Amino acid sequence: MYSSPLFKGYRAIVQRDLTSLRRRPFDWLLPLAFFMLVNMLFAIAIGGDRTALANVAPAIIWSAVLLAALLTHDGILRPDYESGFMEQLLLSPHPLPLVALAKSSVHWLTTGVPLMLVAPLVAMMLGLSPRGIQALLLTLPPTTIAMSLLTVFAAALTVGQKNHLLATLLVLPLTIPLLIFAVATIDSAVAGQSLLAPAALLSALAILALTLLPLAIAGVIRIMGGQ
Amino acid sequence: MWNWLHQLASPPCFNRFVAMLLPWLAAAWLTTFMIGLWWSLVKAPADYQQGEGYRIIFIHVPAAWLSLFIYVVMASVAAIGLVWKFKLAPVFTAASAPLGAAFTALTLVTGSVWGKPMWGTWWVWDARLTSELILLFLYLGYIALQNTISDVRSRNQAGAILLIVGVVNIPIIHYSVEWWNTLHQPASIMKFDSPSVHPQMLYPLLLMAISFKLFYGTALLLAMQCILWQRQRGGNEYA
Amino acid sequence: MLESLSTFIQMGGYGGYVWFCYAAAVAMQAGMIINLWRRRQQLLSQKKQ
Repeated sequence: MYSSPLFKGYRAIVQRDLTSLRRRPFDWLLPLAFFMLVNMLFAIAIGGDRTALANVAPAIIWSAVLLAALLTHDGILRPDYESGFMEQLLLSPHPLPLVALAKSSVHWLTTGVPLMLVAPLVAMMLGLSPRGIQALLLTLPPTTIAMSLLTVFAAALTVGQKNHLLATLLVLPLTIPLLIFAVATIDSAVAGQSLLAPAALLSALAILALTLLPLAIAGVIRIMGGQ
Repeated sequence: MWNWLHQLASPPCFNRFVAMLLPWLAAAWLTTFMIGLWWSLVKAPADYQQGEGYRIIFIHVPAAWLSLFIYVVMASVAAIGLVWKFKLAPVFTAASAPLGAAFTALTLVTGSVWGKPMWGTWWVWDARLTSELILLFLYLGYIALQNTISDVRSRNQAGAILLIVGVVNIPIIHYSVEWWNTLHQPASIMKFDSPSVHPQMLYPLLLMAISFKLFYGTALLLAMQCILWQRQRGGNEYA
Repeated sequence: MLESLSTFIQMGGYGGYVWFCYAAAVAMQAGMIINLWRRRQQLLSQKKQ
């Protein structure tokens, strides 16, 4: 499998993007700072009431995760589009859905994984119970995976645009099922109920996004790249 | 059939088609609307629970049905247009989007006005109202995307893909919101759908639904013609 | 006659809500058709020039 040309192309794109991101650490540090800032704003706005803060902690963390992941969309495809690398990709023999998957993987590694590491700390600061933090750790991987694919989809649709708010209008309505199931998983865990149903539904959504969205992203890249 | 559809896409043929169909559609819309208004406001009996206030249902529910119907039709036409390259498909979706958004807004406004006397507040996070609000954002996203991409061909195709992704998401959004709603809402909220609807309430409801769809047909043909003529002039159809 | 008309308008106390919804539906549909028709005529006259 590792020697197959399909995997080679995928790995090459991932390595190239990771290398360029290592040279620009701000690109993946800024979303983290943004995530912590949003959480801090909520904590300050709600005030010193620790029980009230713990009650709304899942809602705050999840809104902040979605926004932080989405706000990175501008750096995903625009550099490739402007440097002409996108045209090279269009002409290359690599199937475009795999390119889309590679782009999403890089986004997940540089935004999803750091958020997964920081979110439990923030949850503790917000006073979420240990059971809640466990559930948060369980729900973060599927949600961030689906979010990365949606973000790359938004990035592809808005690649030539100057208006950065357009991507939020396009994608935030589509993230509502993720938000619902992720918050519900933590709420059931905190209430001591079984969290199997919402967690399973969340994973199903992630798998659905993983299988269908690369095709949609590939279609949009082909359209936008051929402009 | 395919040949006929492709032929229809040529402007002179489409203009003849519109000229033939438009008067009949407009007449059918006006007739059903007038009868529907009389039936729903005068003839239909008052509801035993909500009195006369339930009459909002004859506007609210057909508008909600139409708002969802337009999105599904748009996505289907977009998919067909993407595969078989019908020239009229993007014109169809571009003309439909503002109509769909308008009916979604009408659903939200009438739902809110209905909620005030029945629930006591202008807005509740009820499953259907919330889904409808999300639908409004899906429409606005499509319209915004259409307004920002300048190249006509990429605008059409990117819009089509966005519609297809959206329509796959609509059932997921709907059921997740419904599930969320059963978790969070107290059971005291009044249910509007009773197990058996009186025929004198059902018939005007269906008549209004048909009338709304006929309006969609009429307005759609007019809007498509406007877009086509504006394109011929080389102008931007969103001017 | 006049009394039955006033009960009809009052709609059992829900008059304001019911009439607002019907007025909104009528105004929206009429407004859209009139707007589209006027744009169509405008484009048609420009086409003939």
